[in-house]
Amino acid sequence: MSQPSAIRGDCKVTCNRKLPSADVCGELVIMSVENDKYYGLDQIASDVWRRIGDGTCLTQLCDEVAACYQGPREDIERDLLRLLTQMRDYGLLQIHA
Amino acid sequence: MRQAYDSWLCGWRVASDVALPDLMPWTGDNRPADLQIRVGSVPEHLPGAVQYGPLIQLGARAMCRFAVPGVATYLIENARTVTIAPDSDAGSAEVRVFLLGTVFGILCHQRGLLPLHASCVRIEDHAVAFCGPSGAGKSTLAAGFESQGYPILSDDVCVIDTAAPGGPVVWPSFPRIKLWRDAIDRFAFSTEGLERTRPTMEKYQVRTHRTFDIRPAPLAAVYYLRETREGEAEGISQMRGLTAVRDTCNSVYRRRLGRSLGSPEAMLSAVGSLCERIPILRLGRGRNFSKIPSMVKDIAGMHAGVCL
Repeated sequence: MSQPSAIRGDCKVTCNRKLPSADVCGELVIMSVENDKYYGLDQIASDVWRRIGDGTCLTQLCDEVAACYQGPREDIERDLLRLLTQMRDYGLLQIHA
Repeated sequence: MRQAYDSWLCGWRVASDVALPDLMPWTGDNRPADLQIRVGSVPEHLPGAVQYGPLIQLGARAMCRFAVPGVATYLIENARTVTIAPDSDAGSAEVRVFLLGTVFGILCHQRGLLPLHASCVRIEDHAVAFCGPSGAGKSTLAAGFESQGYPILSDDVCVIDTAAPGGPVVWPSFPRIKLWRDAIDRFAFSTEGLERTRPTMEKYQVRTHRTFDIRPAPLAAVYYLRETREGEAEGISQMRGLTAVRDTCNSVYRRRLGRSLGSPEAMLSAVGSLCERIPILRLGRGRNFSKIPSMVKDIAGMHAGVCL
């Protein structure tokens, strides 16, 4: 089986809008009807999800997040990449090369 | 044609061909029936229907056919009419068990209400619901409340209007609780004259009509009841975010069927709004029910005088 490719800075990232979601006290819960699972995003991940919306790229997202949250940019970029990869693997995001 | 029986079910006026002794009699205004229950024939196949599992067909225009071999086939149309084609006696306890179980759940989903697989009691002017997997002790705990003078609003299917002005409201369903023989003995109910839920089961339908109150009640909390594992602490803890939503979604009565009848978005939105406004709590209990009186006291104490 082939490994999913790494997310590059210029890859377009979009939320999987087919998945229903609910905002509960600032935290998003996303439901995958297909596999009857629920995914919870904490407040920062929920903020990232809203920023991704209908499309952005990793570089732009990183710029936005770095402007809002304190921390070295390389740490933010690494954490974002980890989060986006996890979200993609769960089917919450679509990545267009 | 005027139907013989006029009953009350979570605020709906129910006109029925068959006696429904589980329900309260209608005492409201002279409005037309909100729900009609007839005895008649049900087609083998609904036109253009999608098969949902082995027993259910979902047809066009909110038609739904539910067949229970050896008991009855039910046809639900537009959330307003139920036709029962019984295999034997239309008024039997078995026919009513499925009518007031799965068919009732389908009607709730079709009407945009949120049915939880829960028992529910009234503490002062508020409703408190107890969810949990089958065998968790929902009905037994509700019977514990009833024995201490707290009326039962519903057993098995707790009907919530999440869109009610002012917050989620529970509509009492009917004055009946299903209890296993050991629970009946524990609370000293008599089994004399009680119907069994199924002829081969030691589970009985206990009527609670003396304390039943048809007024809807604002929902104060939902407890998720489960038996603790070894080493786990008993007691109450708050659930938030994902766990609150997931466990509440998993407690929706006939949830997969409900998603097909409505939409997954609508169901998640209803549950999300519930979790935002109402405490969702985990209630861990030990292996036996010896602590029910103290659980009742603690929970009643928490919700007495609650003003939301």
